[in-house]
Amino acid sequence: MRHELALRIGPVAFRIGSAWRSPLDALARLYAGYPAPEDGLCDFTVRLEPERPWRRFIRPSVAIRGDYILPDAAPLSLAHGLLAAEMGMNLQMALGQRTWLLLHAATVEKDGRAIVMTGESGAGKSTLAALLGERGWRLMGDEFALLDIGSGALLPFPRAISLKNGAIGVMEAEVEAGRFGPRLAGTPKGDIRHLRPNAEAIARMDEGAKPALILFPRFGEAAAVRGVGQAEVFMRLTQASTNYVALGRRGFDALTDLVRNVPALAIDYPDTETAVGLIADFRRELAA
Amino acid sequence: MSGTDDSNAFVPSRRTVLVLGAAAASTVVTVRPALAQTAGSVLNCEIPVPGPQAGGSYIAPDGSLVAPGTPGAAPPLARPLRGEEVKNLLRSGSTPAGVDSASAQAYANYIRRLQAGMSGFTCYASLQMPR
Amino acid sequence: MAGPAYIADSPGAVTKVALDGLAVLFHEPSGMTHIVASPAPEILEALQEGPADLAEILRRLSEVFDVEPLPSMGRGWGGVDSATRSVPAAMPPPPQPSPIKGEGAFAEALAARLAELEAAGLVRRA
Repeated sequence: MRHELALRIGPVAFRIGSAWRSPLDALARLYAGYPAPEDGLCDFTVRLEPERPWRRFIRPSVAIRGDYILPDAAPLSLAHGLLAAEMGMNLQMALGQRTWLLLHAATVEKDGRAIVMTGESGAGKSTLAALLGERGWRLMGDEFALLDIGSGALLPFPRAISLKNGAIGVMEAEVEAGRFGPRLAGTPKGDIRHLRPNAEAIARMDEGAKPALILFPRFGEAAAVRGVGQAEVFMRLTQASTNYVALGRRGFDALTDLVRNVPALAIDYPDTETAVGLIADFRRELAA
Repeated sequence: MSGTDDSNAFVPSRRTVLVLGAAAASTVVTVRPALAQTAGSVLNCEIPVPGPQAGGSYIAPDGSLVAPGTPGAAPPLARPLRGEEVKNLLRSGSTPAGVDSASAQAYANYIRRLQAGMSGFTCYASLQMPR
Repeated sequence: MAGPAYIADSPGAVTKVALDGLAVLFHEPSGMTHIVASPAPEILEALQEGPADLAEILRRLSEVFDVEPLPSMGRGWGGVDSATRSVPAAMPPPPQPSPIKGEGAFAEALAARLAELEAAGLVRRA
């Protein structure tokens, strides 16, 4: 393609091709400091293409294509090209990943113990993960958790954190401007701003961790904590995984091991500071 | 059963009660693929109403395709509906911008009748709430 | 009672993991995962002896368990004592259908359980 960028995030290498330069410039700035793929070999290709040939110039319309595509996908405007690249990478992982069991979850780590936070989109996982990443936790990822099927360890996948609407202001108050991508207004999900994980997260992106706690956070309720039965945890995790079924017996073994070996809690929280406090309490109990 | 289970519940040391359960009870839940829900959060999708194969057909109130100009039927939409619009339409009946509210019901039923292979089906599937 | 005979796959075809009172099953032939509650695993176990119809399944289960159609209702039969309708303290329980004959509530409940297992692909008709 006309323009290309290669990027490694944790154990996964992407090649992103684009008919326009601007999305790749924005992507390169957002991922400043990330390593290039080893030997230039990429696992997945994303292609940002004009929806129709003349849409490269006239009201440019960016269609997300690549090794794996989803039909019915709506094209994005060129102004949101960075978002298209991010969505493209998500799509390759969601559809093409077979090496690790993928969970739609945010993961943070301290002292070798990882907390996996999973739940519906909009439950506030990304914001929580972003905040914890600035409060002494290492961010392993905000979108996908990678579970190693043989060892049961979690591998980092520290993509740029996708902050939406109110969460943008919360993090702008905590983090210096240079780590943010542009503010993208009027996307289908409202305003979006991407945040680059901090230097520690990038430096340690090859370092896995043992899962120590599975958390189901729910935003907007009075603070509460309750246990979750193993069968329910199992079921909810299958629904949070894009490749559980495709992995067959290996997926079953990996997920049943995870559920049997790792405790799970559901927490309700009225604001992120309360959640950060609750999670700090859990960490003390886990370390004890 | 295979040997991975270490709690053998089938040969108890004393007789246990086994309840068969009410006819309407549910004792087997099958795990369904969840790609749709997760992919829905990563991609904005759209549903043309009706799909391109419809060739200008109108949409009856029950969502089926009928000849253009059929009385009581809704005309094809000029632009595809976006995921968010479809979600709102199906959940609360709220009419998307530029859509006639009388036709909204017809469009909603058309979407509900989408099958795999029809344009917009993946988008519709990805909008379903988890059970 | 004559009815269809049911068959379950051999033990090697299903991997079972116990999770807090329920069981998760991986069915190799279909690649599907099911979460099951009693009496589903017990019924599958009972079918390991070979194909069986409802009456035979009930008989096999009754060898190992005290089989009940429904959870016990608690105090007295007929449920709640109300001010307008008092239940005599000495009222005997209603005659329970014999499990061996597979009549009434037992047959209905067991048929429902087999239907679920059939729909899931864990059991099929001989």
